[in-house]
Amino acid sequence: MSFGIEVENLSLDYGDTRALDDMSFTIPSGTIVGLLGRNGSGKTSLVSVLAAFRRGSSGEVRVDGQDPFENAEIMANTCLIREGGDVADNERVSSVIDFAARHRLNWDAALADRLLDRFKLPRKKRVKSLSRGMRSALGVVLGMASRAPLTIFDEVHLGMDAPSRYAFYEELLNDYLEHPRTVILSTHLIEEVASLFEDVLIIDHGGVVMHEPTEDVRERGVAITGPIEAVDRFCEGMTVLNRQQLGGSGQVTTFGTMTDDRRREAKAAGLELGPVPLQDLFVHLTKDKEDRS
Amino acid sequence: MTRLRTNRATAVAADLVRAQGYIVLLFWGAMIALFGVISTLVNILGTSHSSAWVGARWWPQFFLLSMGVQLTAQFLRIHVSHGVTRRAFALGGVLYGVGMSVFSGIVMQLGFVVERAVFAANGWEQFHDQVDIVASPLRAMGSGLEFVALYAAYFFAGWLISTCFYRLGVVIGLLSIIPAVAPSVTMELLQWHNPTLLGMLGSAGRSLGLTGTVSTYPAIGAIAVAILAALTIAQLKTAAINEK
Repeated sequence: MSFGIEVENLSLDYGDTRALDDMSFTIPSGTIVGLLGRNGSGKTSLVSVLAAFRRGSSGEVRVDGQDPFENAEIMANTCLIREGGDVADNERVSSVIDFAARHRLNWDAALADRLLDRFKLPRKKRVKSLSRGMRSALGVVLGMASRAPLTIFDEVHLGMDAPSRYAFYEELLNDYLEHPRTVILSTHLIEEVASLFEDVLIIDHGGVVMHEPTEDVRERGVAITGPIEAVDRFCEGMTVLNRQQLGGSGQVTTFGTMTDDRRREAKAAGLELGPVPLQDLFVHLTKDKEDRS
Repeated sequence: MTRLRTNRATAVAADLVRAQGYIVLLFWGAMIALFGVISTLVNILGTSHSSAWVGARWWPQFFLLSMGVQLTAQFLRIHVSHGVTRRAFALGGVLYGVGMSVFSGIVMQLGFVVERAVFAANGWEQFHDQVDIVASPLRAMGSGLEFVALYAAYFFAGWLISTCFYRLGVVIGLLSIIPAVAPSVTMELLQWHNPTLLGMLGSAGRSLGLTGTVSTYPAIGAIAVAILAALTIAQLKTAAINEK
């Protein structure tokens, strides 16, 4: 079971501050979506509304076709894991796991047990004495083992070290393949997780900047590599996202799709064309207007 | 769906018992030990004999107030983030509050019963004002209900106050303290037959609490509790779950 999401004209205000501004998008059920945005772009506000942690100020949100707010069935089947971890600090890890097992309808105790071992989480230790990385890992265990049809990780893996993060990505992908569900992964570590995303939702200033399949997003730009003079000549008039030079060689990342003629032209000039790192596109798309010019 | 909601509320109440049960046991253990010692010292070493357990009556109400205060602050975020609706959490909190108040009322009355047996065996007088609140099963039940109502009023006052702090901020939280505790303080003064208050209300027909037969006091308490609980639930219904 997995939940689809429909958001129509959603706005959220905190007093005078507008966190989400007339946002609309749909997420089909059973996809892994990367939610990308700069600090303060509204990522946490958005996932809070999706998980019924708060109600939007206006607009509509439907999870599995229903308003999630105070909807017992939707809430019981939605799991939002936030970086801070919504667990009792004074409790032991084992008690936190027991608590989740009592409340999560699809709880997988065997998976939780295996992940606790994999992340080397001491069951008897109290949550407040865990390191930031361990707390993050505990969040990952709670989110994964919940097997919730809608599972959302909000920057949860930021505190984890690289081996733990890669273990998380591997576990998430394997588990997703066995038990497909809708997963939203909000993150700053774009390149690290980009290969997991089927869709990318980029938001900025509370609005949707882009929502497309990851492959389509990547085709929105081209990385051109070759002798730097030839690369620069070829890129004249194009929107350059990034330029790197090493001796006489260089790589320029450009924004915008490239026609077949231009591709042939590049090949003839001895240039290599490649996909654009998602991170470069993200930086470009979320730059302030004055920075772009 | 109704089953899911009911189960959830029961699960919330069970969670709260798990989380706070040991504190409750510690509290009552300490109370029984403390007042057992006081009673022994006063009645064996002293020249006059009177109920020591009467002095214990203050403590549970403040204990229940503090338990109510913890409810929203400590448990709302954790439950909602584990898929429990605010409604189910509120219902679970009500079950827990009523349950704890009943438990406290029963323990309080059992204390008087045990003390009565000890006093009777020694030929001492438990209550000097001739009011024996455990003189008969009916009397014990009546005054037990008064304790339950009083403790529940304190519990729900604490819950309302902490919910006002959570939802509406420090200023309104502080302002909520006086109206929230007003019913419980009034009930307490009436229960212990405060002459000023009874005078203000007119003593005729208002023989409340420990001095007479089963009175309107539990009903007044129940109304106060219902109002406090309703105000709390109304606040909780749309509460946002902020990050720590």
